[in-house]
Amino acid sequence: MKIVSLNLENTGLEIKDLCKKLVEEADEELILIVEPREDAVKILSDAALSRISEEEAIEKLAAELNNLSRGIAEENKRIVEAEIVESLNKISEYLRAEKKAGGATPKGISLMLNTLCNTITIIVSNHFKSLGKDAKWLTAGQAGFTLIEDYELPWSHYVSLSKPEELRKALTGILVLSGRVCFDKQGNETNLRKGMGSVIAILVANEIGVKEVYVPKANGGVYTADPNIVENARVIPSLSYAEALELSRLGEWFVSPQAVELAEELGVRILVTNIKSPFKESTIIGFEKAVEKQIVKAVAMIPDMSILTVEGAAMAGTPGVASAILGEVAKRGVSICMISQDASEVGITLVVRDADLERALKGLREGFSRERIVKRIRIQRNVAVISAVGEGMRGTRGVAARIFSAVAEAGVNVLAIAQGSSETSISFVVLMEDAKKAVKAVHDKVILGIQ
Amino acid sequence: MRILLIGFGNVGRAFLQLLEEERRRFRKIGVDPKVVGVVDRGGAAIFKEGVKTSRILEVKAEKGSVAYSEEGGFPQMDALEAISIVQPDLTIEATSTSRGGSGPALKHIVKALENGSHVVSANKAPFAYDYDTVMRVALSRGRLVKYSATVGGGLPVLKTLRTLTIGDVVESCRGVLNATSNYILTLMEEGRSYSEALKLAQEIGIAETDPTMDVSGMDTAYKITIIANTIEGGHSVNEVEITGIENIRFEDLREAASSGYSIRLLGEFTEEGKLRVGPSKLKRGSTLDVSGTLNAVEFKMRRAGPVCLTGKGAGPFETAAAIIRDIFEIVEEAMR
Repeated sequence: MKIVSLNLENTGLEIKDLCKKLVEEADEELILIVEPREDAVKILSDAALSRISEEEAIEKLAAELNNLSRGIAEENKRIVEAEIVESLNKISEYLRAEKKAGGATPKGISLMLNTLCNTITIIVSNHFKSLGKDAKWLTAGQAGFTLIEDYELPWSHYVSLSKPEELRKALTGILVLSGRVCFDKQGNETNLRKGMGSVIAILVANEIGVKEVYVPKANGGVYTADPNIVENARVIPSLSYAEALELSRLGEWFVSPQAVELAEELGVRILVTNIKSPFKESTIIGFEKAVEKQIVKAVAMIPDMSILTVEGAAMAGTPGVASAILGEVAKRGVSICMISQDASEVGITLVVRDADLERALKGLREGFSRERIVKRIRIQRNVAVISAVGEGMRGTRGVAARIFSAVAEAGVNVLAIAQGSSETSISFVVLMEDAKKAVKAVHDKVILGIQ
Repeated sequence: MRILLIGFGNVGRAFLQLLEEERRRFRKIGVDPKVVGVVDRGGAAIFKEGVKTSRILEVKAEKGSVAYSEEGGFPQMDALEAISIVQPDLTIEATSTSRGGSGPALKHIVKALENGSHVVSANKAPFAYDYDTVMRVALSRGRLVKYSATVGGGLPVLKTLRTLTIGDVVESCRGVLNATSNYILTLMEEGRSYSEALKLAQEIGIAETDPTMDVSGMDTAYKITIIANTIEGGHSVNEVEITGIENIRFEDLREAASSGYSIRLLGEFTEEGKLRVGPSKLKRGSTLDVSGTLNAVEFKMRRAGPVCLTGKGAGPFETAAAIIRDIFEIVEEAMR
């Protein structure tokens, strides 16, 4: 049995040849967990929030689905085409109904996303059927998966295999799961966030006693830096779980951070492969610690961020100030990407997404009105967070010096720095206009060692 | 302030979450609201030191009833018993509105008042069937009863009404008071049949699985009766002449549209003191001709003329917000 986490974010839309390769090379039963591209999901939310028109959304989704179904044999094509038309009709009806309701309803958005995910899954299963294979599709919910929410943290989100017997019942030939559609605890159909399909893949592997999950990727592996920014970026042959966890959060998409964490817990290896040979690993994730001598493995960049600095002399030695500040930001649903505080305690620097800045500020201004303690809130938009990742950094002297001298030599000013005590990564903030230069400098001078 | 929450459906849950967020605002006026008991269909949970919101929400989601809470859970304990044991300062009645009579909610409210507790209710039935009884008990016990959440939810209909009646007289009132039926009518205007529109409204979560209360006009009848009772008391929903929207065909809407009218489900309290609910033709673009999930209410004042309120109808959080506002009012009035 082979398990494949098929995220279209990784593979792109041309999946006909990938499906063919999977069938040819698997020579046994297959389980695929399918997830749509985030761009396709965004079309739905944009339309629901009236950022784009309903017509534009349907046109874009039709293009996405038609591209995906390219290469399906004639007799299956008709079924797929009918399915696409039906699901687009449904989506457009929901969009119109939402508009009448005065805006997006959570249930409406969830329904549209589920319709889209299921249609994509049906297309993938029909690619296998056109190759003469016995393929069937189910939602992850029908295969026994349930959404788990932690009531302490309203935005938290996890999935568990609550009915393993349902999964076992479904195992025959090729099983294609709609990786973002499942049930909540009350048995209502709901949808999962991006990347939860990769968590499901790990849970499936664990349940049936398989120790590997394959993640096919169009560009063939996890890279030392984004190949679109650094042309001499290379595929990294091996990553420890800790390194992969950092990179999955910071770098180019491959699996979700929760999937890496769970894989470590359950002892499952994640094999990132090339779509041209989907079972031949290019990057192996699954080592207790780094197996190579390479100190810094990869450098990643998160663009479009903002710095928020909260200052006040009275903050020093006032316990609870940091917690109050973070609490106000969290209440607005803003996730903080990086935190840094001077040892003098007179200022706390938070890095948040540009898109979240206004909400974070609102939270601080309205909720945190202790004028005598907080004197100023400064903001700097258009910055990028750059992170150097590598477990070899732990306990190795002089790595930070090498990284920052490389950045300085490239003429880039560093605005803030943070390092976790795990020492698996160092993150720093630079202006957006300097970001690519900084990534390239760290990549070439620290990772490749070019002087 | 020790609070007992009776009813732990969507509104009860939203209330607990909102209370957490508003806690600081209460502290500013020197009040520390503590929910010391929660009652649902399965029993009760009682916490001397106040409930931990996240924990009780989890128990409810996982086990179906707060009564299965490991700490403080009492399966089979009903609301009346909980009131006696907890002796709350404030009782919140948030069970679902019953049909055909006040149901257990009236008993809860009376018992709470008799035990010296103030009451905030999101349940409409007691104020539509037994308004005078509730007010008489409250008066005799010197306790306060607030029920803003029963009409308009997020829209402060009753509060506005109380303000308007100081120095002026409400002669009549009309309103689109039910978001679900208005939404269904709006969907039908696009050419859908009643059943198609209802199904779509249920799918996207606007209409409930059992939409009878909304589409039969009963919910609107409750609300217009409560408005009439707030104005002058002495009314019961039994006197309302009710027609729902189930038999409206999209051809009716089309025909109305061709002559410049739309059809809306209106609740009316006439100058003669009569109560009526039914589909009415309204001139397109007139104040009460609102679409989608909007509500609109128009009061005709003797001196000030027509006064109109328009806004989004209620969801669980809007209703919970109305409960919070009521608690604030009680605190302020009781402190005076």
